[in-house]
Amino acid sequence: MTYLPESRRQLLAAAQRRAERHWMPAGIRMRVGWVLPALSLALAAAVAVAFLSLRTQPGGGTATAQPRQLELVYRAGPTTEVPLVTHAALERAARQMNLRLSEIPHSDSSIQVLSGDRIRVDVTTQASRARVEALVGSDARLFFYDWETNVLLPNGRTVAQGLSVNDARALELSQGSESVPPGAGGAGALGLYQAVRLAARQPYAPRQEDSRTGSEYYLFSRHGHLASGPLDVGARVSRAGAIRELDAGLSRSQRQGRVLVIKQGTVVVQAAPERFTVAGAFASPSASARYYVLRDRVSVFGGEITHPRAGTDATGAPDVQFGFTGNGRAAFRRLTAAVSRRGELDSSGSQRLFQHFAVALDDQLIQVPQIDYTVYPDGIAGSQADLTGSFSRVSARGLAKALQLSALPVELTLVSARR
Amino acid sequence: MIRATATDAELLAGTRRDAQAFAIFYDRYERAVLGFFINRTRDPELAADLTAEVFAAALRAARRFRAQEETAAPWLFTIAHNVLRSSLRRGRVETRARQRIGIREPVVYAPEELDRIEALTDDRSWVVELLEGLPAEQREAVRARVLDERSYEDIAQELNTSQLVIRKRVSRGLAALRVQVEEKP
Repeated sequence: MTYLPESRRQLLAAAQRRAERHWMPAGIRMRVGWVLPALSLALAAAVAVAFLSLRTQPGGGTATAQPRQLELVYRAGPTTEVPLVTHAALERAARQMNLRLSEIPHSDSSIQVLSGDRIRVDVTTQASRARVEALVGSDARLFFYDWETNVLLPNGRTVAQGLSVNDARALELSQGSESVPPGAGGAGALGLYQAVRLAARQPYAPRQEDSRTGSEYYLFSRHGHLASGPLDVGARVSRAGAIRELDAGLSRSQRQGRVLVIKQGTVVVQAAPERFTVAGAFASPSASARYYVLRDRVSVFGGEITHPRAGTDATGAPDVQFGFTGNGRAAFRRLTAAVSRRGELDSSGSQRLFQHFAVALDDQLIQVPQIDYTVYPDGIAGSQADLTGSFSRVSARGLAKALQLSALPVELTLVSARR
Repeated sequence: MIRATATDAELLAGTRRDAQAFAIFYDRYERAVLGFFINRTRDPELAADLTAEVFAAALRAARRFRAQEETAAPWLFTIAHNVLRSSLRRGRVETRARQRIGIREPVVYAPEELDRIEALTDDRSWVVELLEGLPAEQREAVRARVLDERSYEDIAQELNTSQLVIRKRVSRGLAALRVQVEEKP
């Protein structure tokens, strides 16, 4: 049984046309030479005007302001999860964008997938353009990393490598310190400047498992304060172009700092906070925040989780629960099995060094759970998982909502907007 | 009349007269090419689109296939590598080959089709199973050359043998794989 019946049908029809052309008398072939391009043109025209139209229901309630019309056109680009933009990916993105727009009350919107890589959003709403753009373009992404094999020590080696030579700093990053769990600010994390400097020393190492493509630019003042950035740029943007963008709007003195570039293959993530208070407003660089540098090798992508929702754990504490796709379940099991095996290997006698995986939302660590190799020697095979520990009910609901709306399969760039 | 037992070279030569020859060739390698792409992209829709493009390119280039080759697998996987590389470079799935043979209508895949393709991503996917059925030397050579995309020179150095020996192992391994593809239900 074929896997791709429609593709197979198209290919065989093409093969049939070629076979007929090959055996056709010359006179007829000349006519086909006119007919086929004409048919092709007609087909191409049909495809060009074909679009997906999704309409949201107008929101309830009483409108007090006059709704205005807004047209936004986005260009879709590849992401590391979806390295090539397909028509199906555009359709998925359109559905996701439609779901996001349905969050705005009193709005009526339609989304069209245009030919090529464009998506057009027409919305009639009382909401501001900024809010519509923020909602459509926001893109919270969840990533799961193997913690010890990816988090870097100040010398650029991984914690897993450090543990093998009994490095004290590696032990702190892996196991936390006293009452501070691994992944939190007090467990060996760095200031932003130190973290970015360490990350900028790492080589360009693109992989299929990267959470982002291209480079990330920062401009620091002479005193190590962030002056501009982070600015994510694609591989085609030159260093000079990126720096021009970084400098935009800065005074001459502000531009006199140091530009640091983190190449693809390395990420800086903000340490997990003691407590999440505001849902959705997680990572924003600040002087007091602490950071970790990771090799960007994602084990499970957020696109592989399903049905995120806020709930409570067995003790009644707020948590965020979700399931996995078949692919995600297998990837999560592989990840936890590897972490479990390493924990067992690194432990000796009564000293148990349970190891960890990290969960990050964009550039913000959420949690770094440990895997007890005595309980899960072969990893966690369940179809459900939950994130617990530091949520209020409001922030748990906020994260669940962010995950429901998250992970557009493509990266959107706004190319035009008009009222 | 083209038979299912025809060699790859016979099938590719036969496509100029008989579309059925290409149908047999397609069925022989569809799963292999899909397996190749799903293990690289982990995206069933993407793997499906790329696979269609590879076979479109193969159809266009069928007459250029050298009949003396034992199997078309290396040729087909070279096309697959090129399609993937070119698509990654452009940031979009390559569609030129399909357009040139008159296919311009995008295919929308059914969820159950995507589930079947996704099933090929498991660790114990058919590619690995097939490789496990090969003698150790051929398995190592095919894995290094086709799956890991290493050069013959590099593999020969590592295995401390000549490039010619590696080429033979890869060729025999791929020929054996083709037999196994045909035997798979």
